[in-house]
Amino acid sequence: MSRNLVYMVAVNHETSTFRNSDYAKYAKLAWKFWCKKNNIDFIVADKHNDKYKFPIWNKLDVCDVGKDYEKIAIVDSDTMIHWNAPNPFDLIESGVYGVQDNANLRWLDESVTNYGGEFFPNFKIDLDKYINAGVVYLDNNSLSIYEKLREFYFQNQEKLDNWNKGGGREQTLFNYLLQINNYDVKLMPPIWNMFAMHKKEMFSHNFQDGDDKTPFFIKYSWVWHFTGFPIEQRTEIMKNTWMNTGDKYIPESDEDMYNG
Amino acid sequence: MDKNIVFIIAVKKDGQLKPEYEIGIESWRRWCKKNDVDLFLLEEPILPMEDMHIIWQRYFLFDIYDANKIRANQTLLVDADTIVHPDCPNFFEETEDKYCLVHDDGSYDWVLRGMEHYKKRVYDEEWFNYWEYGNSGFQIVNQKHRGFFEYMREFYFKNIKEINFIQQSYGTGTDQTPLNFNLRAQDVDVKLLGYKYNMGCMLKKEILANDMLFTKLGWVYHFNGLPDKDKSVPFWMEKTFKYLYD
Repeated sequence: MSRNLVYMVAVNHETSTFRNSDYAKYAKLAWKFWCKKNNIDFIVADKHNDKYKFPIWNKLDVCDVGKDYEKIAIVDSDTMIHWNAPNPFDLIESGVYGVQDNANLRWLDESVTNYGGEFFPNFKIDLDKYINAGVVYLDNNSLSIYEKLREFYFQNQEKLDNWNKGGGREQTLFNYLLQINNYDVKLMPPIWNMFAMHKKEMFSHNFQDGDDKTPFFIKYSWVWHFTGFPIEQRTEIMKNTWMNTGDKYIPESDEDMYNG
Repeated sequence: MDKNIVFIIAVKKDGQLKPEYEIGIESWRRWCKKNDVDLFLLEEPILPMEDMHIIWQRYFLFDIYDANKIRANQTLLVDADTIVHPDCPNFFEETEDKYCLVHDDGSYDWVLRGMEHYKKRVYDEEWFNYWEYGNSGFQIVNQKHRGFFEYMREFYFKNIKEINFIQQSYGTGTDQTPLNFNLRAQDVDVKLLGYKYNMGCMLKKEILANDMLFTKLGWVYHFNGLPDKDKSVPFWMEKTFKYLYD
């Protein structure tokens, strides 16, 4: 067993509009290769636990799955890691590490207003410390945040399962609980969770210079998070990314997996 | 102690300053008064603008001060296409006497293309972390940075051909990318302030809208990155000023 773990939830579920496995297969291929190369355990939760209504909440069980590891990364199934990425666990000491999420400030404002108004009316969240929950790195001591979030979920399950005010599912609650419980939140550079790539224009390349058509997100970031754009495009974009880079992963992947 | 100064380039074209810039400047005038800060407008270029782009002339700041016998503690050099909220905190108290900028993440495509061109054509393959790249439309400096401003001017004249070529051929801005490279090359201690102090590309952040959400989320609004800017910038600056100050 490695000292470090990458944990991913990749569950097909009736509540999802798009089949998770259609795009998660590329995420799994990339992370599987990279984890093997870096001697890191990679666990994928691919069975839904019916105690939760929506599959996203399965990630809270990382507090059990990860309890024997020194450092843990919790990554969404719409992420891929660059085949040659350095080891982010080398950067992790104590605390909860993530990338500040301020790509869509309207969504963020609505989310913290809605969830805050409902559950934390007396707490003012610090948006400068608000992180994207799709890729989180932490040490063993900080794993308890997921336990706290799980407790919170079950205390408020009816409200959360029927939530229709928008603002996402777990991310804003995760941030509120991090800040309310004084977890040591440390911001990482966006290379470790490059989300909202269309907004940041990371899908383009330097069309003014030579023949290098490598998209900026591949050239200049390590963890690619395919979110923040119309969700119906996700599978196609992840598939294209894999088709253009899969050969870099192939030496240690299965040929049939490469072909999807 | 010497006072802090807000410095804005306000050079008229055909005898007139754009009305929206007058509006931006008026917001700064009121903020300065409220916070006991002086406002300095550069109304005449130091050099003919054919010889040096007006944006680059801000690096004459300390020479301008010397010529006018002005003593400044810290200076904010801010673009005229900005409006400050009347309740904006005094950011001079957050600088730790460092060279302060705000990260520019509006379009990494634009930033990275600019960096790649300069890396190749001027900086001999040097590179730096693009996530620490600052917008030059909001810079806070102090006397410690006098030498760096001299360096920026010398750099300009030494590389004027390449700078003009990159600017005209690729459209990746004027001083901003070289400023960022040079800050690293000269080992200047830089502090990045939060987005709230230079809110650029607000359309991308989805906050520039009729509900004026942006005015609730930060303090200095930078009306850049807007399509149809000859119409949209005056429209939004006038609307914002009326909303905040009338």
